[in-house]
Amino acid sequence: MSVIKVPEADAAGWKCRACDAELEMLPVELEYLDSLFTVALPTCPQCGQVLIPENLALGKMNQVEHLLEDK
Amino acid sequence: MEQPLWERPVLRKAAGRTLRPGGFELTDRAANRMGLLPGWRVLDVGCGLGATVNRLRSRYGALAFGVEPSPGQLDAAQGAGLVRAQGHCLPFGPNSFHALFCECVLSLLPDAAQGLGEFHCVLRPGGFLALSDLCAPDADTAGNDCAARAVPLAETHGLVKAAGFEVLLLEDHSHRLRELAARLLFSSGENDVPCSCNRRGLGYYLMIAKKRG
Amino acid sequence: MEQHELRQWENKCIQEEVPQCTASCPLHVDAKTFCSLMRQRRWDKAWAVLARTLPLPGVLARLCDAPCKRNCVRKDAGGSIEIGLLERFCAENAKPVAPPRPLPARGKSVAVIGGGLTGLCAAWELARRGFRTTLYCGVPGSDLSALPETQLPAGALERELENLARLGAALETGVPLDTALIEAQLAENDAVFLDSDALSEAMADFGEPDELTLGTGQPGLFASPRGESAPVLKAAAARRAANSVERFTQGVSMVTGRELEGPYATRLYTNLGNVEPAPPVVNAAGYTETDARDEAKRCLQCECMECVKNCEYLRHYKAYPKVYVRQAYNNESIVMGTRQANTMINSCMLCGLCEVICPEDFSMADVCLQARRTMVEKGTMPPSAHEFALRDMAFANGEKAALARHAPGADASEYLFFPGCQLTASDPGGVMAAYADLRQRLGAVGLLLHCCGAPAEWSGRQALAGETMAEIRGHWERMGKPHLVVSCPTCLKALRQGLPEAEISSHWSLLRALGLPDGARQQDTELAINDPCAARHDAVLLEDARALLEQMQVRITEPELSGERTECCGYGGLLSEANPELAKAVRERRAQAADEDFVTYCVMCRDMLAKAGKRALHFYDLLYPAGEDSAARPAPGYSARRENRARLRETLLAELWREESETETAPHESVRVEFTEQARDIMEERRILTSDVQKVLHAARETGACFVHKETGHVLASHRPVVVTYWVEYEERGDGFLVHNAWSHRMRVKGGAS
Repeated sequence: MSVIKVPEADAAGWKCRACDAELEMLPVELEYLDSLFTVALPTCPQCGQVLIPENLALGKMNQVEHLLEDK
Repeated sequence: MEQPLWERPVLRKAAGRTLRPGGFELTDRAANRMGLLPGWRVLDVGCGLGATVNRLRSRYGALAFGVEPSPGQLDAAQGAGLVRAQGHCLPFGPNSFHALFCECVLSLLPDAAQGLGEFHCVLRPGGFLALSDLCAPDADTAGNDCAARAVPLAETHGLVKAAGFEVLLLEDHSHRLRELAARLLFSSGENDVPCSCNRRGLGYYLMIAKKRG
Repeated sequence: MEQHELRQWENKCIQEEVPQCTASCPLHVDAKTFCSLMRQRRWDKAWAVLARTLPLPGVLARLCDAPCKRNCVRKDAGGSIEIGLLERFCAENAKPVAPPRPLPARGKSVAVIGGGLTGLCAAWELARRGFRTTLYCGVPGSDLSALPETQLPAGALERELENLARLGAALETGVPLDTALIEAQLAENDAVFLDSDALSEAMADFGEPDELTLGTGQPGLFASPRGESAPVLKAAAARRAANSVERFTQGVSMVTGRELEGPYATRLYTNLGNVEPAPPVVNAAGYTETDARDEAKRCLQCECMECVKNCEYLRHYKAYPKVYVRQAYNNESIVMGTRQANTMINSCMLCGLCEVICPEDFSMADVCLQARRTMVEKGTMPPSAHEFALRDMAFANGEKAALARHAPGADASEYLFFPGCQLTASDPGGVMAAYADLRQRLGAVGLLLHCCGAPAEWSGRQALAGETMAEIRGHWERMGKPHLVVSCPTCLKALRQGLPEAEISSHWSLLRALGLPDGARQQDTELAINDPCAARHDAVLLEDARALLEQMQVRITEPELSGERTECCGYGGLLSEANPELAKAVRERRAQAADEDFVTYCVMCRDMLAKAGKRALHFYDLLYPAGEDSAARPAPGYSARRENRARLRETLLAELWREESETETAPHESVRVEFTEQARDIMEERRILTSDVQKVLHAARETGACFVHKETGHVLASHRPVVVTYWVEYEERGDGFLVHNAWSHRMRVKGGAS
């Protein structure tokens, strides 16, 4: 499956503290209730640390969780 | 009139070139279940961008063809054997095919019963029909998007049998629909019309049937 | 839920029952819809309602003597609706409509002999059903000719005769009506109907027709009963005969399933409680448009909706139990597709109010609890619905908060104090004072800090609820099966079910018997009592609670919904977990149920009311006053509730039993953390605990994995203890942290740092 680009996945201003590296939009696997999605998310290119911004967590991600949960 | 979802870029982004829940997974499932052999003549009705036709040719060695009514889709399509035609009025003679695929298309036909009759006609006796589509919890068909056109599975089941098929397999793949809805949700921007495929308790099924005789 | 159970439930809800007027009308005119259109001055639409049901509507609507008035619910609030006058007004003022379209031809023919009103109506009904119909008569409408112009204006009958012809009925007038005609028509047609009153007695000597079918001894010959004078009953006889002819010619049973053909009884209940009496509109000169509108406005538009009127939850989903139970059934039986009613099922407070209010005892709680159990069984319960509450329950029963001890220095217990896990979370000081008071006056009183398992029960997890009760039973048996003293009404209910052989008293009944503790507040105050929903059916408890308040000189105000009819605060059934927004609406509604400060003996009710901004006291605030303005005490947040439980346990162990708490401190608990006010509010709203934040900060400290903001210098870190990933944005302050923001999600980032 192709990589999903999420408009809300913006993490402007943040960088990886351990590596002192700028974040890049890299494919990340997200998993919930046996469903798997490959989404482009702000990631540290060196250590692979992924950032989930607040508005993504509370917006799209929350809606998708609901959708997969059959609420 | 806004574009139907299946012609909008957002669906291409979310669903890839197959433009349907589950991608090739259900295509492969059906092909394996019917034991599709090299040299089989296979038709994909509503072939869109030709993804299934290409897969059946490349992966299974089938002599696969596709029909698609939309010139826009055909222009963007890739691969051989694609013809412009309506699903309920196929430009092929009787008993022409070993198998026929109709994926996420049946409920979009103007008359599903007529379509199934046509499928029955172009299949050889003992030929296979692989059907996957949306199903609705109730018979409410107001509107024109995929969700509104979906009908209860029992209704489709009845039509398939009435058209002269024996149903060999029926599976629930609703979670694939939810995944597609989730992908669409993820990638939709502020101005995108929200997709209706997570509405009204819709489900998704795979049915494999055999032409009697 | 099995299909027959669904039917039983659906049958219990009477909201869709037919209103009294329609049920008692021999022709079942939809008077309710008719009135609702008339009150909007939509005369044409209203007329269509009549014309859909009445044969020869232009005649019948003017002659209707409204037998429905005998049963109109408005009768006891000023007088029945003058439906006859409204019908006449409508007939005069609405645009005439074409007759209804007949059913497809059946290839059967029927002769109607005799052209009085009954014969005309029979021809109408038969033609409408698709029979080839011929009416033989002298003069059509012979029994209507004597009516005054005011009742039946010129042309009204002629117009309906034209409509009868449009329906396809042939009219043979001036025919001599004799026995030979009947014989001939019987031979030529599939059936014959006689309008008895239009024929001589000698002619119609077939005996009295059967009262159910209007059939006679002659097969295929049907007749109206003699001497019927009321026009509506004439029309009803004609309809009955037409139905019989239909069955006879089809060869199906003439008798089954005809109970609803004539007037019948209906179970619909309509409460006149809040209806202002109003007399009928009278105008000797006949109704004007305004008169007709005003009279139609008096129609109560009968429905039941008793439960919906009194329950925010039932109101919220915009339907009524009959619809909800079907949704719950569909939700359960869905094999293909997504479920749509999970949140609805999980939003019921299981409080039992609807069952008390419903004239037929419909219980949404039974429906929803059963549905939840099935969802848990089948693995279709959304994981996030109750997880937070169940984690909280696990904490209350874990080593940090649970405790079972004989009284200090005692090795046996005659009594065992069971305050419940929410009282310890909300008012630990009150629990300590209550326990001291009990020991002082009763001696050997043990203490059991534990949750009764209600969250497990409410979330449909019967096994977990059973395990919890088994733990309580183990403690109780080890302590010598002492007499239980229980403060929380929900615990009381759960323990009485789970330990049926135990002696159990509510703390309130016990105090009523013992007398007030020293220091209890005794001053003349007016307070509104809030009965918790768990006490609804406990008449003794309801009474003891009031008696106890009276001992403290409280003047009690009863809200409209109180005692057996009390309403839930929004905590019941874990509503506040499954549907926080609805829970907010519920508690706000309850907060408005009284002007006075509330007093209650369930601490969750107390905290929910406080959350809604309502001043509320718990009984402990009066019995063991702590000096401050307790009614204004804010409800403690989620983190504080846990800390209160843990600290209470530690304090009690240290002060009463001289024991050091033996629980190990987890590494994250030593993380020193402060919060901005905004962060506190956000965490409460998002159900993020201090301990969750500490775990993130501890993990970030251990691994060094975090992000830093180039402008603010804030740090962002995440951690996933079990299934939820928590994110914390913070500043480092020496060896501690100041938290600015926190959020969480359930999706798992695979292969990321979290």
